[in-house]
Amino acid sequence: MLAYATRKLLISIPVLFFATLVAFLLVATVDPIAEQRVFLLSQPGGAEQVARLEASLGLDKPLIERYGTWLGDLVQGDMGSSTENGRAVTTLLGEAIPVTLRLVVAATVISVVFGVTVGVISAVRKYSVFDNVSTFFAFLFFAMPVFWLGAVLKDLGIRFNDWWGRRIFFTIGEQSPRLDADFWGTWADRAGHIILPALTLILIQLAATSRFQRSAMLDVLESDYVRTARAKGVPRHRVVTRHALRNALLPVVSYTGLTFGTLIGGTVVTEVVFNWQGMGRLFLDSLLDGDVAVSQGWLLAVGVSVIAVNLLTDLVYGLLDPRVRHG
Amino acid sequence: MLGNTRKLTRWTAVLLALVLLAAACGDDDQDDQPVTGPTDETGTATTAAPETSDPTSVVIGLEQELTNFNNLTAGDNLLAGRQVIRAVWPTCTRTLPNSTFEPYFCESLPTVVNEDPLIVEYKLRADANWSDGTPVSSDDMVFYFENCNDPEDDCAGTAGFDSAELEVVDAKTVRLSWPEGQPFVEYIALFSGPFPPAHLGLDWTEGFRNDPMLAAGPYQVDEYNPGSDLTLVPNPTWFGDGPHIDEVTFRFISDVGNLPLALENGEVDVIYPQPQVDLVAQIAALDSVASTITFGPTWEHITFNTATVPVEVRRAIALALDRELIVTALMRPFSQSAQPLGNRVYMNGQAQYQDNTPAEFQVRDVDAARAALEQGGWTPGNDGVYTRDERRLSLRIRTTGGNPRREQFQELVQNQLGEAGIEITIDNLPGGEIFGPVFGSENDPPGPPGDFDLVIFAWVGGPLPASSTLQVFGTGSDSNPGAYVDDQVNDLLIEATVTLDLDRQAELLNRADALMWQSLPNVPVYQLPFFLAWNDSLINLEDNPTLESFTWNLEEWAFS
Repeated sequence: MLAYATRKLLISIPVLFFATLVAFLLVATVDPIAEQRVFLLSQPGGAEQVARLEASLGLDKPLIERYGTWLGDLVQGDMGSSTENGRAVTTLLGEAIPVTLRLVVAATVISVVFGVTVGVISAVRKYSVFDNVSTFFAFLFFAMPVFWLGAVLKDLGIRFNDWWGRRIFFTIGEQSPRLDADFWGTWADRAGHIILPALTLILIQLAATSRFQRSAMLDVLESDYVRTARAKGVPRHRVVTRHALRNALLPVVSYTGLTFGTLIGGTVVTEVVFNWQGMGRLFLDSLLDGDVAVSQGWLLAVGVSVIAVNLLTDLVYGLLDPRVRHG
Repeated sequence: MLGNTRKLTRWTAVLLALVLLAAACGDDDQDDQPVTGPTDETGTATTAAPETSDPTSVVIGLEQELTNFNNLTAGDNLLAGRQVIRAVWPTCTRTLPNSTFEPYFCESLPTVVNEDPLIVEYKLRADANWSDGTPVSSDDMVFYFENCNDPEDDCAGTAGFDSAELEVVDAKTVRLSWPEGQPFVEYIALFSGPFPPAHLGLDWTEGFRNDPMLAAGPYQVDEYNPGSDLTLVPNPTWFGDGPHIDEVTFRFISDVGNLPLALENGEVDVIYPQPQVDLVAQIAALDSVASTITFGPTWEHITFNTATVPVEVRRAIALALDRELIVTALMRPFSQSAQPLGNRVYMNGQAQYQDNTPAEFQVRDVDAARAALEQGGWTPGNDGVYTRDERRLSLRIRTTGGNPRREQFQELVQNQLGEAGIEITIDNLPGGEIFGPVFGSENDPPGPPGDFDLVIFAWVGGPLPASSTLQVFGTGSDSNPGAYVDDQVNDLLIEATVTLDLDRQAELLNRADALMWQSLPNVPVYQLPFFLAWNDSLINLEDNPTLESFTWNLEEWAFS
């Protein structure tokens, strides 16, 4: 397993290097002073001012040299500063990543646990009432636009609060500002803030995960070795949990790894609907403001997270399926 | 199998609880990073509302976040910044909701020492101090002046300072003087942007970007989490009454759609969004929420290009327009009290406002419009559209495309003028792109001003309108896109800009406006509304449609 993990880790290094190149080129090919350039060139002496501006931003150097400088700074932990508020990109990412991670981890874990459970039961009880009802809701939630589902859940949350006579669910932010509460009060406040946005993501992810799991489980349940196990008299629950589920988890692991990596990039719509200051919001703002350094930093952070999650997925794959380790 | 399912369910429940617990307890380093201000709130007990010993807090939902605590720099002069910093830093005077001035950090309104050359004295209160104990002083006004007296400096408002000389009289008093024959009549509004402390020796533009450092007003900044929230607590060195709220938090909620639900759910107590009909209706349906619509100094109009739209056509348009219907369609969904605007200088709600609309333009009269055209030599064509000298009376109307209200406005104008034999074609450009061809642009695409026949946009008025009115309607002004020329009006406007007596100034400006109803550079139609909604247990909230905005009297807010 150690050799397998080391091999996967080594493969990640050139991929990471390539990710830095893509992150740099995607943004560096856009002219960060396009507006000023148009204005200055229409003024007397504007060409010299444009030249000075280009020199101060290093735009007069060849692309490869700029990439080298950027990469050198990056290795030293310097990703530049936001042109909007002057704050270091590393600080902005350091603030946004935990916010998004908190939401995405909660949503992913819950949707995987529920999705696998629902998928397994649906497969075992194929065409039962449970299977049909779960299929109906899976497709319903899968088809719903995120912003609409989020808005509906917010409204339901407020109706629940009114009925309960106390505010349980919150509709904006990750936590109440300046909360003065003990451990449990803080926990309740954060839980109250995370439930609705997490539920929005859960319902949509759950739909896909349960369908994947159902399909994979049905394939496995019809395979020869499962039939053999049953013929040998192995109890049904043991066949399902020990023999079938382990193999049927493989596609779900792949799917979860892929979606988790993507979600770290930002659940833009969910973060906007619930006013969370996470990665999605950071990227949206950087695009709207034309904040080059932040956009580059965001792209790199997302690239790294996708690589890391894929590495983790490969390792889990190796644990679940020994053939992969020795292949 | 059922037993296993139950076991699985139990484990699932435990796992989910752990996940939620872990997520809720996730790391958040932002919690404990006060940016400035003493955490010791000694003194707040004496300034808190006497009727309750419990700490009180208010959360305000703001759509926009400040970009610099020094709101006076050219790049950071946002209303959102002003809404926060006006409760923290000093201003000499403040503007009341009815657009009159009252002394704030100055002992009195600025005093005229000499009329020509104009010399004005600004004297700060003796008891005005910064939160570190240093007096708010002449040095702070010098710092302000030095950064704003040159058009090249990074200052949002150099007018008045750029032609003045400053003399320090004593530690609390300065005098500004202007050259003979060039008085700055709006002297009363100088030193009225919230100004930063000079004695810290920080840079004007960057020194206060993320931290105001000190306070002199009723509140001081206790914590600022960029992108998320900012909290004010009472400033113990504040000389005035109040404040009555122990903690005021501004939460930055950029998606306006989140505001009504947050207000309904009690997550914010006050919101000040751009009014939209559905949002206003949504708020109106809420229990325990009070709201007001105030018509502010921003007004929309139809401006004519006088080079392509002759005066008899402008008259016909003014006669054929149903301004009452336009206001009913576009403004009365917000407030039944909305009225067509009858003045280009003063707004409804200002003491100097008078409706100068002539009787003939008060009520729509299509026959009179046709008669005006025919007197000017226009004759109706076969399709009903007037012609003269083979010129068909077909005019282009332009506005900021994508703005539904203005587009609806255009359609109403098109229909109404069509009935009077004036063909209107709509020719918009997206957003602010329209201002290039209207005002002329040196940028891309370059071009001369005046590429329109009719254009709809807004002007922003204010408590001291003489200079801005001359800029908009003065002969040869860059801000006069319709190339409007009326010598009589021009003379009156110039006289108003050098008249120190504000009553006399108002008389001159109202006379100029009355004359403009004859020569018609434009037709004013309505003022735009501001919308303030709040938890109705809060008292003393009043919108201020001037630049002071709704937080102008934050120190007076309290819970009933």
